[in-house]
Amino acid sequence: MSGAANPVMTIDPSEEDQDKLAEFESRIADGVLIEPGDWMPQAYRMGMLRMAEHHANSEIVGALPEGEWITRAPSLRRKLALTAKVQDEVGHGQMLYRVSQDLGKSREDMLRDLCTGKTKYHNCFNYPAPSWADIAMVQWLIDGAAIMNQKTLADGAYGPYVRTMHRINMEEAFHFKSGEDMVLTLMSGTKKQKAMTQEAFDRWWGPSVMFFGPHDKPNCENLPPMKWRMKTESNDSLRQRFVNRFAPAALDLGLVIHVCQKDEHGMVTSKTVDEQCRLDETTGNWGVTDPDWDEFFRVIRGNGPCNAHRVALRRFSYEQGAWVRRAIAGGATTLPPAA
Amino acid sequence: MSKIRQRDFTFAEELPPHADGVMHAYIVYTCRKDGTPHRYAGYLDAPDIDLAVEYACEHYGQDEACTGIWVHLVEHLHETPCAQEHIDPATGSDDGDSDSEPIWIVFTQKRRGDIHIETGALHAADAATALSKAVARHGESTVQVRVVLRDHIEATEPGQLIWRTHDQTYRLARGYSKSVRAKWDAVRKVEDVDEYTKEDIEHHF
Repeated sequence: MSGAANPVMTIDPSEEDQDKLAEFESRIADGVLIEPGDWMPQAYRMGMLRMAEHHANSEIVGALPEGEWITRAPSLRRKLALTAKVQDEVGHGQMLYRVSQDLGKSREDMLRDLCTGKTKYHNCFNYPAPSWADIAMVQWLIDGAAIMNQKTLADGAYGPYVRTMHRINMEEAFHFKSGEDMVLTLMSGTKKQKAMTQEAFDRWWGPSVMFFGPHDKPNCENLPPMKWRMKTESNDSLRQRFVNRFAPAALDLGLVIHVCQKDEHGMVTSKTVDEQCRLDETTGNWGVTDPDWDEFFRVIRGNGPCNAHRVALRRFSYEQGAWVRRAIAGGATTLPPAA
Repeated sequence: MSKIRQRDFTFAEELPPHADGVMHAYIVYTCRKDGTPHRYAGYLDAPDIDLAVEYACEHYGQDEACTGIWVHLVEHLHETPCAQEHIDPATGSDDGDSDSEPIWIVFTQKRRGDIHIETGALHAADAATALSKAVARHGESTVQVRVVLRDHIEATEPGQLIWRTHDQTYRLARGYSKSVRAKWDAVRKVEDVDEYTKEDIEHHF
């Protein structure tokens, strides 16, 4: 889901120990989970590391647009909930960085590579969240998509990642429910609230449909990421399930699904009703206009509406935290007395 | 619009100095209710074990209601290789306990991918003997047995308040489930909502 080629697809499999590789693959095919002490192909180790690191980066960058809204939450309960959610997301980042550390990359290197743009995070966090309704949409659509994805990742083959996914999903349930509650509340509110919600929906529907990544390569079930159960469902299959779940729900809520043109700030400049978005009675599937994949790749390469700002803010936070790390390194670990 | 968004960041060319080497990895277990076994929660990085306990309380202790937390260095763990199916308890040996020997806590993993759960405690002179005894006593129907010297485990104080006692339903799915369902039912057909909620996460805090 990020820029450079995934090592799992580029490492030459003939460099692996062929007998061990065959045994590894047959265990995976039998549904056996891989634990850290087991032999694994170098491409698998590198691929899992990269996947967990990308996931960890996404958790902590994803907290940035939401963190901006904590001080302006519309009620105390919403403020408490958003604060807790941001705390959860950063916690997910810490757990996933630990999984990656055990696969061979230091936490400092990961935090620094994120600051310098060497590694990526999920594309959807490069879009703006200019209103409270955007926070509601992120929690409903983006967390909704993330849960669908992470439920399939929890069926993967790498034990430490699977355990982390289970724990993360336990918390994601709250994020999603709270997002639904916000969207439902706004859509049963005033005309102004409904209009604000529709505008936020227009900004987030496209990125949500792109959430699962580009169309799959042919024969994706037999390529390493799925053959080795690093992922267990194809991008297009997940996307279809997402649209089947969320398109009718949005329409029943009174939202209109649009195909939108956006400016360089990610704000909608023109929109038309998505004529493709209707139920196909024969297949039982909902249609959706194929997203603009040029936009997807443009954003991945760092040229999205908020890429520069998100990375700069992350770097700012990292640099602001340097004194804490210095204090710890100096052995000054005495805590202030509890309040 | 947030002020932070209009901020113009300027940075020196280099990042601040690398801080590797001062943090250590710790494993964290939580106990949901007094008298129940400690369960693997996750792990974290901390400069020392006292801060590891503080971090664990703030992170894992705020995810779910819990009454106690254990923390130990990853290096203090001794474990059997993770078996494909089950380990054979006969590969361990049990020559009884002597109270003069130190206490080891035993954790077992039932299946690959599962979490490790506290299963018992035993006396042994060293790690190898402890592991061998643990395999003999607790290895049945497990894929992995781990032992940790009890003195290496730092625990929260009995009765220490970890999980806050005020109403925290705002940070749990169950704080929203009923009202969300009622709001959906007001705008959608019941069978459509049922279909939509099939994708919900069943097990949560």
